[in-house]
Amino acid sequence: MKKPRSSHAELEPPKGGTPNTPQTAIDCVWSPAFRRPRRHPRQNELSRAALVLLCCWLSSIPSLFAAGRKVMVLGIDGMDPKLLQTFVEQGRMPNFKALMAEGDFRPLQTTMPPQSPVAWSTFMTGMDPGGHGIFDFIHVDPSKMAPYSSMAQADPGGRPINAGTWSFPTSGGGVHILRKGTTFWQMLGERGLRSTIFRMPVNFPPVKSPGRALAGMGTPDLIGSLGTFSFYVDHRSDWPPSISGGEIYGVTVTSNRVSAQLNGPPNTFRRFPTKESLDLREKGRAVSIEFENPKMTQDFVVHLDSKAGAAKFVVGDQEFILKEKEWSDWIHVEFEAIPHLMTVSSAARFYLKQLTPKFELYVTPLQIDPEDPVMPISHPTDWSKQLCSHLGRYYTHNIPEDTQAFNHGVFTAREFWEQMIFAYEERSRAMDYLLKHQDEDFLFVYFGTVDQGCHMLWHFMDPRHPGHVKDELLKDGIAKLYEMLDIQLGRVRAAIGKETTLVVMSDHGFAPFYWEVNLNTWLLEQGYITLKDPSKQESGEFFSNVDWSRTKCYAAGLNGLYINLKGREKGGSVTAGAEYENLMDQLEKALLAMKDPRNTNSPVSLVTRPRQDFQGAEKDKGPDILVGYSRGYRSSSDSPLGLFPKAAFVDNKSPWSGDHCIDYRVVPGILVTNRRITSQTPTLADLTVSLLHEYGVAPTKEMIGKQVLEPKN
Amino acid sequence: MTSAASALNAVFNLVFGVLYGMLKWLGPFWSLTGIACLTGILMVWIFGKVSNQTAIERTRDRLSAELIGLRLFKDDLRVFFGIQFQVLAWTFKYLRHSIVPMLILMVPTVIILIQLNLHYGFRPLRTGESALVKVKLRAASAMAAESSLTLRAPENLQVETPGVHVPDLKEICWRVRGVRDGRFDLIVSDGKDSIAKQVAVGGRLEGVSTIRTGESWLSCLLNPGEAPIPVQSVIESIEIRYPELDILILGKPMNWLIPFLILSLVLGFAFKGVLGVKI
Ligand SMILES: [Zn+2]
Repeated sequence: MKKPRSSHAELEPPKGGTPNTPQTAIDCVWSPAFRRPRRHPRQNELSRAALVLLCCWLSSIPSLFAAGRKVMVLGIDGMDPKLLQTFVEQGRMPNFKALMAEGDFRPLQTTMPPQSPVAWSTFMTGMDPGGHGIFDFIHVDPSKMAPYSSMAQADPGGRPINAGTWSFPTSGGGVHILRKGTTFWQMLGERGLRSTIFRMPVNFPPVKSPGRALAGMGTPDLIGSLGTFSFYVDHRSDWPPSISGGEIYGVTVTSNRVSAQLNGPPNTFRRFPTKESLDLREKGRAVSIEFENPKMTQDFVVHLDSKAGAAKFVVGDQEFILKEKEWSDWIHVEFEAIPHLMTVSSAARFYLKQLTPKFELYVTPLQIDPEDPVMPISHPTDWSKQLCSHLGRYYTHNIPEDTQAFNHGVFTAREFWEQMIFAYEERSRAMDYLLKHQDEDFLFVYFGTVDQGCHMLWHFMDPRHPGHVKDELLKDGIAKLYEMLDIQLGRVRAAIGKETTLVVMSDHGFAPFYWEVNLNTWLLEQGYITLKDPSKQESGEFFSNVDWSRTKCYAAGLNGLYINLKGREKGGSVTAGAEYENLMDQLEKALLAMKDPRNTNSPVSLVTRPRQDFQGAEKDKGPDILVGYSRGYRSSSDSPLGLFPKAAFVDNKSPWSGDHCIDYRVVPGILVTNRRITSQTPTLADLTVSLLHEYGVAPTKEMIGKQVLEPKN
Repeated sequence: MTSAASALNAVFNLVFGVLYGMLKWLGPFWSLTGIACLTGILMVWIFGKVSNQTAIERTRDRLSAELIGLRLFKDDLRVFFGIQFQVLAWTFKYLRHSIVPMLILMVPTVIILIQLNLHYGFRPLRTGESALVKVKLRAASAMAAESSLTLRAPENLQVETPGVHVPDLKEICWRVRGVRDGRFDLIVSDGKDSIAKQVAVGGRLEGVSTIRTGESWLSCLLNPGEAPIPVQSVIESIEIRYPELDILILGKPMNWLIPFLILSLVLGFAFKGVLGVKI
């Protein structure tokens, strides 16, 4: 159980890891000399000549020639070039400053849209969304008009054999990645080069290639969501009926005791008739009974002692104590699928937010247990377990920082900070381990802290933000996160050999998120969308109130705009050809002419047409238009879900106060390296080609980038 | 009764302490294998002593003869069923001859299992690791009066929480964290009496006594690691929820019980010829 931090120490970056001190043991592992074969002491002339010939022959095979070289990429989600430059100039980031002096620094052009899954997919494959097929966090299935996660999809198991309330699948289900294309480390793998890929986004399940990988953003939690926390309260009516990213459960405190349960995934071995079909049967209807799988649960009990200001938890066979405002370590949770025969392993952390006068308990999303994973979160499968034996359990799902808990008021800002730092420290320990223990040809380590921190802490830093909150400590929060990453860079620089190519990069930068655009509401106001019942504009999930026969287009996802096309959309009304093209032109003009009536700003500064502007086999599968918002604006969170709030433009007062899902030209990422950057405007796709070039591997014809890194002499 | 139990514990603790002390340099797996081997031999030897070896041998011979008969007369149904009845009868006789020795064997087996749980069941806390200290009181009524119960930690432990009172379970619990390696006593005191409980932090990967109890002679026998708590104390038991000790077998962490049972059976059978015992 973690000791509570004192409020002041909270903002201190974690100590340790003196930068610039070379560690000989690690140097030795990383130095190319380590792999060089030892020379035989007695070589006669003939063998020497043979050796020269052999060397000539070997040098003609680029992959073998380059095998001794090592590259490390430190991927920092959301690091912004302007903020980086500011903090470097303020002297807060000595290690970045040193690396810039040693090599080079440029803004790194990101993708349109500049969303993490899209940008990281481009970095991995060297293709734009037209090639890798990821256009947004959320995609729409137009034949069903249903949204789905763009990153991975579950495959159902084989037809089950049913016996009463029992059900036995004939084959296990699975999950597959939706991203197309070959990653650059797979290409390295084809040449026998080994990689360690730590938490690369959109790599669940991890692609198989020589070396190791742990999945990152896009990895589900145990219940198959991208992260659902549980919040147990004894005053349920104080909270909204439902919130995104979490479940709120009402509990009662009876003689200082709370009994509740953790809700796991559905038990596919059991089935019970649905209440609806039983009700229909009861009413005498001749319907066939429908079955559903019950959720697996794990009971737990909390014994409260308000006098002591602490409580005792009993979860399965584990017992622990938490004081008010304390976090537990990772607690192993087991769900029973078949009693005494089959269990599903998970892990969660408990946070006793409040003991009295109100009882409030937060539990993290149930993790796929890295010690005993039910889904393939690593490659090889047991690597997550090996990491566990060195590091203890760790967050495995999508994005560990619980921004939704903060957004909905379940966490205060300080609580969010503490939870974020915990996740950061887990990653930091993992990186130390990887630096000490890796012997691969390529290492990638991902940090998501800066991105999540900038999303949630921008309004503390920026007095112009409509949701600005004064907090003496948190106003410096983003700067502190940058400093923490500077410490990480110091560790990396101290650990790698002189010959190692070091690349520090981010997928995109950041901008303030002052104003929300309800794009669907705007389309409605402009007459592109017609509602079945205009009096119910603000109700109805995912376009359920839309009259499709009189609707020309709709917005879905954070930047996507789709034409309601005949033959593609379920209720298509626009004909392909001239009508479609005219509508596209009309929309482009209207979007760029859009005005926020409150301040006469232009909320949209870029309109991209994937079918025209992208390359690759997937370019026809995405949205028809990608909307690039100007600095300060972004799509609201409601509009991408097919909702129609009253106003088209709203001040953003939620803690989610910084963002990057806008015009890609406004939010480039960073590229800092110990090499020379030959382009003034390098792109993510250029970086992919350049990394391959470091190993003498030529890019494929689908890759759109060019080589931009050269040795610095 | 409790004092008899503690006297027995003292004897067994001494024997196993010496045995374990001789083998522990081998590490958890190999020392457990050594003890399993000795246990197997001891059990086979005891079985040989307490069973009617001639009767067992005769029964087994008859049984195998009848089994051969079964195969020979499988086409003659009348004879076949007759022999089958004989097989059943002799099997029953065989079981009758072995049931008493088996019951006798139960006694040393239980003692060995209890002692092994003490040495292989749980491991000491690591520095920085936390655990729950659970004090169980004899009566719920003592709960309110004993709210002044205090926990005094030795120097290798840090007490991190106030005592959490759980009247339903007659318990008071604390969270402690290992600060420094060593074996010390923590003291639970009600103002009048003080009861000590061993705590182990760090050191070799060896077993620890999880609970000191005075509940009953049976629980004393089951938890031989420490002397029983005097009956007049309001405290019934003091438990430290140590982590389980995992023994690595082919790289997989495992509880000691299953490998021990398999090893002692296999090794015991391997030695039955040498000992000339018929099972
Ligand atoms: Zn982001």
